[in-house]
Amino acid sequence: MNRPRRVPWLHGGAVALVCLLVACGPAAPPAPTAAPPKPTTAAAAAPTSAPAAAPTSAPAAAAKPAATVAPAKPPAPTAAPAAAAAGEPIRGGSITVVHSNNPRSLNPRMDGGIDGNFIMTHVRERFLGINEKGDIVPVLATEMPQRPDPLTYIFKLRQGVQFHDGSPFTAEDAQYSFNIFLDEKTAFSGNYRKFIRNTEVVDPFTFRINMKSPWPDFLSDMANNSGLGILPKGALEKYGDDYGVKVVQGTGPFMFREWIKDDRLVLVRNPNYWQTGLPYLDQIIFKPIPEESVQVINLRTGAADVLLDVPFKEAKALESEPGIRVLTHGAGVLEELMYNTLVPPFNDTKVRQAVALAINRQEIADTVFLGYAEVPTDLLPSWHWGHDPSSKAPEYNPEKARQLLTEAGYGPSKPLKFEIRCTNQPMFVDQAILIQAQLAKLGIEVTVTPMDKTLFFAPMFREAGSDPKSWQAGLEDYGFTTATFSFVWEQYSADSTINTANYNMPGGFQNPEAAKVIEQAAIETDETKAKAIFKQEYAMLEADMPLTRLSFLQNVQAVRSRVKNISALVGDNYPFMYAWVDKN
Amino acid sequence: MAQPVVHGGRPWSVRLTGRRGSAFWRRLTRSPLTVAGVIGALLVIALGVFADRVAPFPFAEVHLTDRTRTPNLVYLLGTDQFGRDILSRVIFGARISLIVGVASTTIGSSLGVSLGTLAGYCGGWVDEGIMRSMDVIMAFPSIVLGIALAAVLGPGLGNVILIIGLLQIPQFARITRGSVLTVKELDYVLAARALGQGSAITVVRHVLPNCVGPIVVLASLTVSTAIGAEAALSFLGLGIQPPTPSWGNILSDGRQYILQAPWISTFSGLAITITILAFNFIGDGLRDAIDPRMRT
Amino acid sequence: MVLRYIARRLVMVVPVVIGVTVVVFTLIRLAPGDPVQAMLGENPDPQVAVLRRRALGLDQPLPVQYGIWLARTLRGDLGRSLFTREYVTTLIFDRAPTTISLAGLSMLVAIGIGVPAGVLAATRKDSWSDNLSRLLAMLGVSMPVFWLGLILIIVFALNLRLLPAGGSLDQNGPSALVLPAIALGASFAALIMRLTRSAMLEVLVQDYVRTARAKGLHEYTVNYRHALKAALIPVITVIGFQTGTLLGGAVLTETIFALPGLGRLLTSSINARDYPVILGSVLAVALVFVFVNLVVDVLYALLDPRIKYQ
Repeated sequence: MNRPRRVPWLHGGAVALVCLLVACGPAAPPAPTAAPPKPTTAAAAAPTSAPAAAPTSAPAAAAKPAATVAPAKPPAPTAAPAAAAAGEPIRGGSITVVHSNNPRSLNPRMDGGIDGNFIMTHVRERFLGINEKGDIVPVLATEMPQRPDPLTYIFKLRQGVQFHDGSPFTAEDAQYSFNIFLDEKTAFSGNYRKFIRNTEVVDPFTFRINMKSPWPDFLSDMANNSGLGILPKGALEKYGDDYGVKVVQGTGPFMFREWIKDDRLVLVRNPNYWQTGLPYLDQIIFKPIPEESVQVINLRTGAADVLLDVPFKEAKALESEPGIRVLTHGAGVLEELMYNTLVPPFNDTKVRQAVALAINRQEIADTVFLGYAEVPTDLLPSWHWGHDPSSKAPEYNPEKARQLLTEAGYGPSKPLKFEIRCTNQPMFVDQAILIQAQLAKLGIEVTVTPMDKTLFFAPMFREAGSDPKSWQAGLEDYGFTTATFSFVWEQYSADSTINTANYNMPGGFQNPEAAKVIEQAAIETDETKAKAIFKQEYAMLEADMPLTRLSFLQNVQAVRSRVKNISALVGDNYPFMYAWVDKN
Repeated sequence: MAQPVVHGGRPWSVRLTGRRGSAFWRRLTRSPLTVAGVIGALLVIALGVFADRVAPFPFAEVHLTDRTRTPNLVYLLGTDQFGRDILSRVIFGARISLIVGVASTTIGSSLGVSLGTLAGYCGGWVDEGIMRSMDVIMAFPSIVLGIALAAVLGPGLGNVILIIGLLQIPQFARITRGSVLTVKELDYVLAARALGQGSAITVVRHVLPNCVGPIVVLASLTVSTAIGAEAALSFLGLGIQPPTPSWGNILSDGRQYILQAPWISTFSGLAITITILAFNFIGDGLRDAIDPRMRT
Repeated sequence: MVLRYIARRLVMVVPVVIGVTVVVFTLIRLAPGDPVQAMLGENPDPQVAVLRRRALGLDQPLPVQYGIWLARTLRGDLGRSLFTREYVTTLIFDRAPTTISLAGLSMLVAIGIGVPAGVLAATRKDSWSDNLSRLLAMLGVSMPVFWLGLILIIVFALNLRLLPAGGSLDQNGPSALVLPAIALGASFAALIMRLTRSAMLEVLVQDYVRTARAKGLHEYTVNYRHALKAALIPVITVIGFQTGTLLGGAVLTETIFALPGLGRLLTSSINARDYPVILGSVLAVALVFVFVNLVVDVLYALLDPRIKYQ
């Protein structure tokens, strides 16, 4: 869970599109559902075809009948082998999950960090959430919001939901929460304050949000960011400084029990969860273990049941270990080399294209990620509906690169020299060093500079006090939500805060045609038309090359076989919602 | 690791020639461990100096078809995740680690000895002021001070040398001060001063030579501490940055692969261990040789 | 005379400890990054940032901030964590037992290895057993402690399944401390061995030991009764001088073994720039170090009047 994300909210390290593993069998949705809604972009949001009452699983016919208040302790199936199809989920049991970093904070006044947000996703809910397939689905709302005009969202709220302290959930609680997220003394999300004007309680179960200006990403942001979970009215005042340390309130499937920093964070089952019958587990213990190899050892010895972020090099070894299952899924992480088009040498398109041609992306995917990555062949990853299966791999042509460099004025007498910056993590340093070696074959001299996170991001996000011209190339990953919007807009639009390449921004490389296409792609709801626009956008981006997309990563998790029905990470959904443990 | 002045008040003088001198060399070479230490240190120094010629591969050269190979005939110590030859990296690492060790010890000893001499010779408030500052530095677990300094200065070779050097100053200061205090009161020093010899000359001609013993011992031990400190800083990501190899960052890098490719960490760890041992044995041997009362 | 010495030393403790806090405060504030950035995520609203800094008192001039902290500390209030609002004193007292237990156990391991090795080396000076025990004891100090720790985990936790691979005392009981204590203790065993050996060597040639031997006392008695008593002095000394290094080693060990002790509190608070916690922990550590040293110096002066102490 260690991937820093460049999206304005820090959360959900690995976003993945997931299919529940065959071995686990389909989960038992508490209510029959229709096909899951497609990921829609908020700007043209229309109510989805099938109002889903709950996050849905695979559209295949549910294996269990709708009424699933599981009997307290069904007779345990006799030694269900790990690979067998689903046994009956058993209520009860405890699992231990090992992860890398302490949550930074559990208080809604602060960003909880990647690990904090992921853990809290089981405790706090928002109006919208993400299901295991990566779709935005209503959670505390009963349906996607109504949009009488582009600046208004009206949410119908679910009735009969209780907070963990027993109080009923109403629009008043929503307003209390939103006030925290909007008040200048307590907010942590810059975007909420930037875009939302105010909120209204229309009636106890109808809530209205008025925007200052259109924010296409709003629904996706809400669905993905567990830090913006709803808490009961007055909670911060009632619990004072204990909130976030001894007490955390929410409506989620698990309740907060205790947090001993650097030791463990314990969640227990919410017996009054509004999705009756869920969850199955009694308890989840999260243990932060900083040292990677010790995490793996804990899993292998059985001291831990789930390892959230398996280092790729361990994955193969763990696959062949008895008693452990390795789950891989396309993740929502894109490795990329960003070029600063404000300054030489990357203000010259030929240079950018040359470098892109000289990088052997497959080699990076195989070497650094040991095959747990795919080279991007299209704008969108292979598991996204907008992906064009006929698209081909990006060109790797060192000869052509050499030619372009000569045209740009570089050659043996004047070698191209530039600096690649990256944050201090082995994953990025490894990629940068590999690129350095690959480019060296063409006589390009690359220096690799690992640095501290804050120093790295400040000039790229154009933060006050930093010099946006101080960097040339940067290697990072981009954590994206599965909403189409983030793929086609967040890095390339001149209005986005994370357009690090300064593409179409003052001083940077300009292509007004491309800028238009990018904005179009973000709001087109008709799938066929959208695909055509994506293709256009991709062609233009490949020609302009503001950044070189290196790999779409896979997310790898490992679980001991006693744990069933883990759904892998999709944004901040609930991987442990449907999980249960074998009594053996 | 300073010790209070405990040897009954006699100066530790080092004679390298003559009758007492040859006794010194005899004592030094008596212990097989010391001899081993000297050989080991010389070997490491040779590797560091002649790294370019001795190493079979350039340290940054990747061989992607030979990633994480176990030690074999081509790659004598195996390869890392990029197919870089571990043997070559360890050899070049010797250079870097030695540079860190020697440079930081030089900084620590020169500043430390100067401060200690000043404190011991002048006494009074100068003494108090200097020694309390030394206490402040020593009151930190060195790791914590190292982290804090690295947070301010940033990682990299120069800063690592600076940080480790700074951490070594107090020990040199204390030992020098102790020796100076002892020597200050000796007859011939008092005589020199009575005769009107300037303080500086007195210090350089009479006082310092008699303190050389413990300083040299400490210096050799300090080299090994410095190498260990570099490893600790690299463990935290604050040391020498890749692709430049240092034993510390190879060891730290290899941690991720310790279950699949343990040789990465093993050989760099061994290099660190052996070098630290070597310099420790040299230091111990020197101490035994210098102090004649160790004869039984 | 001794009392005056103690009083003088006590007075000297104060500026040293204050000096430590000043140095840490300055360094940490000079370092780039601040906690408000961490709290607000990557895209903060500048207005919120300003207000947050003001609310936390971070916008005042540095000397003022330090002065406020010092004044509060002298009243016994170490402040609260910027992130979780927990009292720093609570945090320290919760974590301290783990680190103290680790340190104590490590010392026992070090003494358990070092003293017998040192005695052996001294009584059989220059023999092969002298050299062998010196070599083995030195291995501990020469291996980087985090490497040794990892190797111990792999051998004992993974391969032999004898001991847990990290985790806290709460979960695993005292067995959670065994491997870390060995790793940490090994690095001190050498020092204790060395000191025991040299102290014993000194004592063994002393007159009163020779006299005792001449009187016909058994070799064993001569060695262990007279000599060992004197040899304990450097051992006590090393406890004092090495407290700092011990706590430093604890930082690395706690990270590897995932122990929730003071060392980890320090590193995580430094990373998060949680200033009150950093200052409070460093203060606690410095106080411990300084007082242990004071006790050691006093004991030292009391035990061996031959020592001339400046």
